[in-house]
Amino acid sequence: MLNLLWELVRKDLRIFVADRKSVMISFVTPVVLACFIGYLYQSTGKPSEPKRVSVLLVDQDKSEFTKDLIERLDKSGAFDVKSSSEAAAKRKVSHGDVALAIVIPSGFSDKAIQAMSQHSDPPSYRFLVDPSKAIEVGMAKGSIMRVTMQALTKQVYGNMAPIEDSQMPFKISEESQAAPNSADTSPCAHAFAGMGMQGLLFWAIESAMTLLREKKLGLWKRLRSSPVSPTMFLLGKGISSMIRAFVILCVVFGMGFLVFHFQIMPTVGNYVGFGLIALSASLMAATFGLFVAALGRTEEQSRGLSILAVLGMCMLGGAWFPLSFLPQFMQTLSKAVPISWAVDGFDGMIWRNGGFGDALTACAVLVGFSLLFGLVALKRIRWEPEAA
Amino acid sequence: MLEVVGIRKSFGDTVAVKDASFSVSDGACYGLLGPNGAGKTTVISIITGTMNADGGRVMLDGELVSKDNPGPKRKIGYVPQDIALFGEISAHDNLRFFGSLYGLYGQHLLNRIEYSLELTGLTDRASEPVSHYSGGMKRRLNIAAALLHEPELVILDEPTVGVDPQSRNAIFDALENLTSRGKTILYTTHYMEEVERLCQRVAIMDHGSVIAEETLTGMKQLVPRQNEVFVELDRSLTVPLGVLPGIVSQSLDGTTLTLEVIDLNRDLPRALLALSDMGLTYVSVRTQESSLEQVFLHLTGRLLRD
Repeated sequence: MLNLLWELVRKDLRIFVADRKSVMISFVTPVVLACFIGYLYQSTGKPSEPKRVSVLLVDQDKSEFTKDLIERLDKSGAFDVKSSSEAAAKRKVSHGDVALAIVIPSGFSDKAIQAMSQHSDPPSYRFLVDPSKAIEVGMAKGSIMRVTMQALTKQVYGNMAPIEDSQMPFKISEESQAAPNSADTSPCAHAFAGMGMQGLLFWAIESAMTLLREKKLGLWKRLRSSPVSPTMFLLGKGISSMIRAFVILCVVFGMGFLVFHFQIMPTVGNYVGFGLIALSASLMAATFGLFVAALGRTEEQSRGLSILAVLGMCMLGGAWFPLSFLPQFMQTLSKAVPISWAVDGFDGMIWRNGGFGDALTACAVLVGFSLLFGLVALKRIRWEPEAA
Repeated sequence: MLEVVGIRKSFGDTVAVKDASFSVSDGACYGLLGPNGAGKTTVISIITGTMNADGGRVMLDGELVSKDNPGPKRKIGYVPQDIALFGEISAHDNLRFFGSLYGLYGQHLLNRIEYSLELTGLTDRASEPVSHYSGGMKRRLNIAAALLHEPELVILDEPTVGVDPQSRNAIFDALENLTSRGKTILYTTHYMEEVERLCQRVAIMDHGSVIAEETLTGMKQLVPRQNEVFVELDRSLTVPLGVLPGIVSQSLDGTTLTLEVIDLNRDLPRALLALSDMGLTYVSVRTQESSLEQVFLHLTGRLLRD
């Protein structure tokens, strides 16, 4: 009985260790993911190195108060403050480069001091915000209120004066830099873009596994005995995969449009741009499938490697959480990940005020990745049997 | 039609084919016989242009066969050892796809699909997904897919593995139909009875080399002791039987006398006459010629299916 049980166990263990690469991948995948997430938690949790939120400051007041305010914001350790013009700030927030820009209107300090001492109408900060980065905006709101009160108190009463708990001497007005009518739905649209791309790449893995199964079944041998070239076979596979991927994306976004009511910004450029990005992203996913099939010898190896690659790309590409959560070097690294270009492209066409030019940039990068994946697949795919 | 000259192929340190040479003439059914692992499938892969040989050459109608030369590939219909079909789609759709690889389109393709389905007896089930088929039906469709483009040379790599007797007969009927229409067939198997039924000429492969190449009759003559004769006597003998003339060996078990003779026409009549002279009466005489199994045993010292 025990012998039988041991033989049953032993057989499975032997099968497991027979494919060494697959064994290695099965350990590497969880280790890499755990390290990545662990690193993020560790780096955000270190008290000595708090994560700073990038903030652009448009100082139209140019007073002693604003100088003091900027100093205090800097010293707070919570912000990385940079001065900017309003136009540049709007552009950067709109593109998602920074979470928010604070516009201090001309005469702000005088009006705030008056409001504090004479209870007149308070002036208002203008927050230009990226609606997909609500956490950073919320943090900034709290901090700016605290720091402003400290700076104003100094201006009005000097360092010794108490702060009365009366009406706030200023207000904050938020101005979403998303497209009109899309501020509420933009986080959802972003999630659809991110998860849609993740789903597409996981589908591409399955597509690659089908290809490897066809190889195992001897179908490749039959195909190669025909007068059709390998390039033609790969092209056929690529196009059929691209069509399927495009349909998947259409269904995913269609569901979002219907159920969550976000929509493409109503210009011809944005509609065409969205379509082109969807096609380019589908092409990228299709060629990624071929790339996966070309790199692994067995289904098990390819599956492990590609799951690791897709999860890594999703994290780095901003599919799971906003890129601003990541350390700066990872944000830079995300530019090397096709998902981030696809997600940014879709965001741009739906709510980020992107134009046709932005769509073309995203398409060019996605097509570039597709070419890279496709060429590697063509070069590396093993059509020939590897044993007698 | 097909000329295989000194081909070699290795996979890493493993030598799959050391030296294989043979030729197949137009309209012949040629058998490539050998045990599993003899190198038959590798030879077939090289002939079909699926892989290139490390050395030697394969010529089809005077044209060099290689992975990148589509010309000869158009003349070959390849039936792989594996069931290389798309299980999710119907037989008709499978055939439509494989036909298109050889440039068949439109009505001509439909006619060819109809013909191939009919030849393999699958017309009634053509619209069903292949995954619903029995093993034998899949094997037959595997063959049909190779016949669509009317190849001049049909290469079958162990096409009857795991097939029920009914499907096996259907496959043989289809192949005999092809040979009667002048198609050339290269047939690999480790079932000697299949070669004996279908082929006129045979090559035997072992350990990556062609160790014999002959007509079927000539191959059987490679075995020195070639014929067994079973003589059924009308009664058991009470005294030992004397030595019969022209016989290699003889043994008696009850009423069954087993004789080994070299030449049936020359030696058997003399032995039967001697039995009559001894006053013995026989009720039946049955002969059995040497098989390819015995030829293989003779050439290699082991059985074909060892």
